[in-house]
Amino acid sequence: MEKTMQQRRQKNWVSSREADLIRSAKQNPAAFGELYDHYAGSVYRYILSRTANIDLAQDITSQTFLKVIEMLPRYQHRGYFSAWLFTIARNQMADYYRAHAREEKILPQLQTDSLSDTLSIVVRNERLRELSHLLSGLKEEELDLLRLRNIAELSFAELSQVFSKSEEAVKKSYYRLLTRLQSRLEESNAI
Amino acid sequence: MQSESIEVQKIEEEIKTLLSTAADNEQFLTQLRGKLISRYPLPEEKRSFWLFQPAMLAGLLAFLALVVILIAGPRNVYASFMKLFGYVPGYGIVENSAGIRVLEQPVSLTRDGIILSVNGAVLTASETRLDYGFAGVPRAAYPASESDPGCLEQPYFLTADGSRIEITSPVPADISRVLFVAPCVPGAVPGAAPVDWALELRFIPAPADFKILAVEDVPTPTAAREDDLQQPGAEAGTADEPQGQVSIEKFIQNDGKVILLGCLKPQLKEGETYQISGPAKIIDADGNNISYSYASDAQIPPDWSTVPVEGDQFAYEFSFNGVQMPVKIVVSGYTIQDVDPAATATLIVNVGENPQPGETLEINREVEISGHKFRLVSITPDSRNGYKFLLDLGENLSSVSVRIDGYNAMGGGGGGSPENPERFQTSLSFEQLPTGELKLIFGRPMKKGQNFTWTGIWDAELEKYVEAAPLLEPCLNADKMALVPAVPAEMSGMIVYRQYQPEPQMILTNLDGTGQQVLSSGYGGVALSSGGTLLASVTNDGVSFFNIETGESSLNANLPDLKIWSPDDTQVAYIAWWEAVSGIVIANSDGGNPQQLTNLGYEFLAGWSPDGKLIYFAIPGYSADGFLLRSVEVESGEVRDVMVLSGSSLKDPRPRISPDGSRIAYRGIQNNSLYLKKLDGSQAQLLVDEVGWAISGVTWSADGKKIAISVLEESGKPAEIFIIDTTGCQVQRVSAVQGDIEAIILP
Repeated sequence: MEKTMQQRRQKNWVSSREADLIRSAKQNPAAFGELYDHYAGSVYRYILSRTANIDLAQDITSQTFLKVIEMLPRYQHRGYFSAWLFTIARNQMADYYRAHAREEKILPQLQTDSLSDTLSIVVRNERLRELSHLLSGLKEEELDLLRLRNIAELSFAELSQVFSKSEEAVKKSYYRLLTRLQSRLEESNAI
Repeated sequence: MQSESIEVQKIEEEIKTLLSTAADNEQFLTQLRGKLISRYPLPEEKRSFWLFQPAMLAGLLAFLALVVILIAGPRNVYASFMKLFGYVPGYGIVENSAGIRVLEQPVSLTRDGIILSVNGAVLTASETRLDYGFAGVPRAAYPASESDPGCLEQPYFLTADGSRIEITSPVPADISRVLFVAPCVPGAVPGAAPVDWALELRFIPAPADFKILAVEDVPTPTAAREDDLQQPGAEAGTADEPQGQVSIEKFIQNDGKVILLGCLKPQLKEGETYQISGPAKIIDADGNNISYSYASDAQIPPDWSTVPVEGDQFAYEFSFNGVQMPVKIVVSGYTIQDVDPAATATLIVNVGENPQPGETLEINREVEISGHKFRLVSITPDSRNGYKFLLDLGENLSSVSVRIDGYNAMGGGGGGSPENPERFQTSLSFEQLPTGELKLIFGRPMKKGQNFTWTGIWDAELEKYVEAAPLLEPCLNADKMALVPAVPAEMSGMIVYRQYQPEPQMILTNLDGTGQQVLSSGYGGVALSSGGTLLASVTNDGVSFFNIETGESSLNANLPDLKIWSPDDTQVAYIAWWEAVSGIVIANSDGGNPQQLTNLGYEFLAGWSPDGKLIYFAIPGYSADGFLLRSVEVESGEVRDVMVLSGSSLKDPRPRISPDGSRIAYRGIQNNSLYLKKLDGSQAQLLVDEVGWAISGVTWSADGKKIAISVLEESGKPAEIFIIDTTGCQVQRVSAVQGDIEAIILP
């Protein structure tokens, strides 16, 4: 766990380059292109994770970056560009859902390992099935927290900006959620 | 092992697997890129009123500073500036101008079992920081469908004249009463939970005992020169190294602890960036590594001082008990540069027609890109129709990209390894796993630049330091294990241990293995009462009590769990994580009067203070050096940081407070060592050093002189049990039984 956290922190240390890029990107398309290359994949994966619909994910990703282009000249960098970007993405998602209030819930999709007779794969698939079931019962904000942390790989500092909560509060929510999931997995003897 | 606790990394990987959705994205993202770039040039930035530009504010501040100097004289200026910001624990760094106000008293409102609490507030001339929350919201109140985001309306303040104020905005000084209005429970379905919540808040001037700590300036933050401070473990800088410094800008003192605030200030060449190789080290003048935690609430305000807003900032907190000044912060890393963005290299590999997930294909072939050689070590198919590529990039490259010709990847990722910086792993996933002969195309080589070690020195007149305790030899290590004698036949006493085979059971036995009695089945824990007569076993039906003296048993179905007993055995504590309650809960020993003390849910209970006033617990994530030990006051619920359990296990330190409340035992980072540390924060003593695979159980004797541990030689085998005398360092082996130790009862 700690190693993962350290790696995430290290990602943030490369922010001096990002600040330069953001300044340049207000006028320079090449700089914007570099920023886009850095974030587009994770924004798309995050949106796709929420929609599970390729066409829709592409549409909302496009809307998100068009919004970024529109708002970039007024953006004041405070060290959390990714938080700003994902806030826009979430707002675009919310706009979409408000306009399509009867969409189906998107459940986590379980893609089990290919068929094998080894016990370890059977056990792992069983645990993933149980976890998938638990995830489908979470609140949207909880699922979103898991997505932003694990799919978009935002740091707790970035998440605190996205959710407008203190970093400690976000960290609390996140680990409390993991503990709850883990405990329920243990309860069901899935491990 | 079943008794190990949360495996965060594992569950995060699984969540990632489940929440990721594979899809073709490369072509789409490329097209979108072109479309976006075609929109340039962007419209001109609209200028806001000049006075509110950060730079203008900084200029205005500087002008005001000059005015202050002229009026008050230079000697008073420093003190004046120090009053500009203050640190309020739990609320962060706020403007320390006159007229700080706080919430008169916490208020709450309960409707349909849901509690809205406003616990506190700090109001300054520039902002409001409010501590509030909803509790007890039933799961059914939230939307069942992802398409319904629930209520998004934000709370606000309503003033007497009907105007609204955002809850983070300043409240005018002449307004001392507002209505805190929450249109709904955030995220809940309208109608499923009460709406239109309102609570009256009263603000009063901060009382005389209001804790706002000075944020003190470090007069001339500078990089350390090696002749300033010769330390073991710190790399010497050279003239050719990339230049930069760890700039310590401010510090805050608080009850024997200090928070250092600052940032990295790199001086790099055009186009260069940098990568830090690991957590910073803080080293004192004696060369001791100091355990620190991240002061998450002490964030530097965005427009503050000389700290660049986009810079890499830090807020490290540590106890200065035993620390010898000056203190040095050391950060190591390397620079990174593009080699040639257009460069590519290819390699043909054959992965076979039926590659299986997890079966690694060793490749070990050299590739050259733009004059740099690297090696593709192996390819491993994964369970998501993808491959992991392990690369040995050598000393010069830091990363390269990989794709498979003719296949569009749907996703991927990668990164280096702090332990082995030359190894780089990257992965790709596809709609269908590519098989047979594959043409790999490598590109975008990034060059690793020079290594650097940047430092910053902090020196200040603080309270007197306590001398660090001398380190003792460990009482038990791998060499001594085989020589440990068995418990003598004449020694009386009992232990409770958990066996796994033939079925998981908790067993009470004499030290010689006689008189065995099964207390419970399953994986529930056992807690011995402070008086040493009652054993509480957690079962699926509740908590089962066994009286060692009378042999009587009883079951209490009202108690969901029991981890520790109060010193007088009238109360118990456990960790709740279900529904609305997460955190430490105390209750009467019959289960009555449960009260929630903390609200995390991932606390590791360490013990009760002998006077019954405090409960100690450890939590992960607040320090690179180990779990953070905290205390919570039973009466008030006030939580305080005690110290970092330096070098503790990252999984579960199994913290155990000694019965006299003076020391704590905890597992070390590899799980096979045990430390003893005084609660005054002085240096930890290594009691057990790297024995076997893991220490699976730790428990104190009631007199606080002995610790019993169980040691797993390897995973899957039963553990051996040892009793260590912490005063004389003698170790004895309980050879009659094997399993995880839970409790020891000695006469």
